[in-house]
Amino acid sequence: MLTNEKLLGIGGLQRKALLAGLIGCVVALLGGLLLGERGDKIFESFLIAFLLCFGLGAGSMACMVLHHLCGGGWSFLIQRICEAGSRTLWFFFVLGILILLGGLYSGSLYEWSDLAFRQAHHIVENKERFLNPSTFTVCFLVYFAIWFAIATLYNRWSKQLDATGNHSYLAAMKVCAGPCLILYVLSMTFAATHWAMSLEPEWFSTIYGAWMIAGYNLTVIAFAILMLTYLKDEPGIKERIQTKHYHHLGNFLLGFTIFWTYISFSQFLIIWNGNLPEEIGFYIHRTDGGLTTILLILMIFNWFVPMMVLLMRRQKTDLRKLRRIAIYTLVMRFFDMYWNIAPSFPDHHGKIVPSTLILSAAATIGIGGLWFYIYLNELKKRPLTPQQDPRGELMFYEEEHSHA
Amino acid sequence: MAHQEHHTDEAQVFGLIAEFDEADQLLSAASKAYAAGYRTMDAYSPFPIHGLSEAIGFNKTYVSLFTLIGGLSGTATAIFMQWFASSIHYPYHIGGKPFFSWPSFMPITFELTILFGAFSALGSMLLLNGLPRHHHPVFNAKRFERASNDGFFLCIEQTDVQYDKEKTTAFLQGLNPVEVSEVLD
Repeated sequence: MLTNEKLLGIGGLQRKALLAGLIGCVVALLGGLLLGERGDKIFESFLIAFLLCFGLGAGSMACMVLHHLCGGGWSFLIQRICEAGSRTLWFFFVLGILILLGGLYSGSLYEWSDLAFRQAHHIVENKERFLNPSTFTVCFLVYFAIWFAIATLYNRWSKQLDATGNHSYLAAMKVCAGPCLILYVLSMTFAATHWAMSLEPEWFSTIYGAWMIAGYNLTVIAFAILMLTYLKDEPGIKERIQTKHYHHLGNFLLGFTIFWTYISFSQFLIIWNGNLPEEIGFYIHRTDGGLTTILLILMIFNWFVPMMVLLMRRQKTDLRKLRRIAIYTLVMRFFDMYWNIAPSFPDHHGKIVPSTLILSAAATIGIGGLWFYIYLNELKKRPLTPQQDPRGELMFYEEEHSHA
Repeated sequence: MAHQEHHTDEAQVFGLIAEFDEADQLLSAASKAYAAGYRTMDAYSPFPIHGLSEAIGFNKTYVSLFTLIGGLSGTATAIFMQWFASSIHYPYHIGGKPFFSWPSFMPITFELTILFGAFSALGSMLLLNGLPRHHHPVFNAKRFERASNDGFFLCIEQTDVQYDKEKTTAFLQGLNPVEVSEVLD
C-alpha cells in the first residue's frame, strides 16, 4: 500500500528497533560467554527472553482470532496490528530452533534431556514418554504447524476479504474462530509444559499453561494499545478512532491484569495449601532468598497498582495515561517471566542471580528489538484497517452520530 | 394576589417537552439545548442512542465511588472476620500453617469484595436516581407513551436556571419538533 509507505516516522523507529535488538543480542551473548562457565548462561537468559517475547507472536494470533469469535467493534482498530503480529511467528520458529532445541541438544537447558538424570530420578523416568528429546522436537514442530496453519488461514482470508469484499470470508473466519482458539489453548498448554514447566521436571501444575496464556494476553493488549496510540493519526484509524476505543482497550487491560492475578494466585494457593513435597518445591525455589522481593514487586506493581489505576475511567480515556500504563505493564511482564523461569535453573533456586537478571533483560531487548523490526515490516504490507469489513462502516456511523 | 397565582402556576409546571420523529433529531436537539446553556433536562427514547447521554451533559455519577467504598468495606469485613475467627476466637492449627494464613483467606475476601461492591452499586444507583417510583410527571405529557414506541422526547425542566416559559418554548420550536407542550407536575 502506498499510504503505508508514508507511515509517520516508521522507518526511523525500525532502525532504532534493529539497533537496540542487535546491541541487546550482542550484550547478552558476550555477557553469557564471559560470565557462564559453559554456554548455559546464554541459553538461560535467551530462554527467558524468548518465552516473554513469544507472547507478542502467539498472543497476537489469539487476539486476532478472538476478534472474529466475539465480534463487536472494540477490536476492529487493533485487528491489523494483531494480524501483523501473527505473521511474525516464523521468527519465533527460528528462535525456537536455536534456543529451545539448541538448549535441549547441547544439554544446557533441560536437565531431563540427560538419560542418566532421568534414570536417577524415578518421577522423571515415569514421564519419559513426554519428556524425551525426540518427543520434544516432534511436539515443537506440531505446535508451530498448528499456529502457522491458523495464522496463514486468517491472514489469507483477511487479505481476500480486502480484495473482494465477499462476506463469506468473514463467515469462514467466524466459524473457525472457536475451534482455532481451543486448539491454541491446548497447544499452548502443552508447549508451556514442554518449554517452561519441564525446567523443573519433577514438578507439575495443570494451570501452568493458562498462566502463560494469561500473561500473553496481557502482553498483547498492552502492546496493541501502544501501537494504536502510535498509529492514531494514520489514515483508516484517524477517521474512526474515538475515546471509547481507548476505554474499551483499557478495560481489556484491566480484565487481563485481573485474570493474570487470578491464575497466578490460584496456582499458588492450591499448592501452598496442599504443601505436598512433590509440588511445593516450585514455590520454595521462588520465595527463598531475595526472590520474595520480586514476588512482592509483582503483587504490588503487576496487580494492585495497575488494577486500582485502571479502575479509574480517566486513566483509560486519556491517551497519554493509558499509554503509560501499557508500557508499565510490559516492563512488569519481564519480572513475571524472570520470576517464573529463572529460579528453575540449577544454582538459581531460592536466590536472585544478578547476572542472569541483567543478561535476560539484555536478551529481551535483543529479541524484542529484532522482533519489532520484523513486525513493522509486516505491518507496512497491508492497510492499517480491514478495507471491506462491515464493522468498520458501523464505527463510521457511530462517529457521525457523536459529532452531530 | 395576582403574583401569588402566577407563582402557583409555575410550581405546577414540570417543564416543556418537545417531541421528535427521529433519533438524529433528538440527538442534535439535545446537543443544541446543552450548547444554549440548558442543564436540567432529560431525553427519552424507545432505544439507547449512542452519545445521547453525553449530549445532555450526563457523564459522571457517584455510583463508582459508592461501589469502591462498598468493595473495600467488603475486603475489610472479610479479613477482619477471618482473622478474628481463626486467630482470636477459635485458634486452630491446620497443616502447620500460621493462624493468620492470609493466602487461604483470599477466596472469601475476593467474594465479599465483589458482593459488597455489587450491593453498593445497586443500592447507590437506586438511591441516586430515585427509583423505584410509581409515577413521574413526564407521564402527564401528551403522547408520551410513544417514548416506548416511536417517539423521541426532550424535556427541559422548570427547575433549570435558564427556564423561561416563552423563551424556552420558542427555543424548542426552533429545533423543528413535531410538537412542543407543557408538562404539568
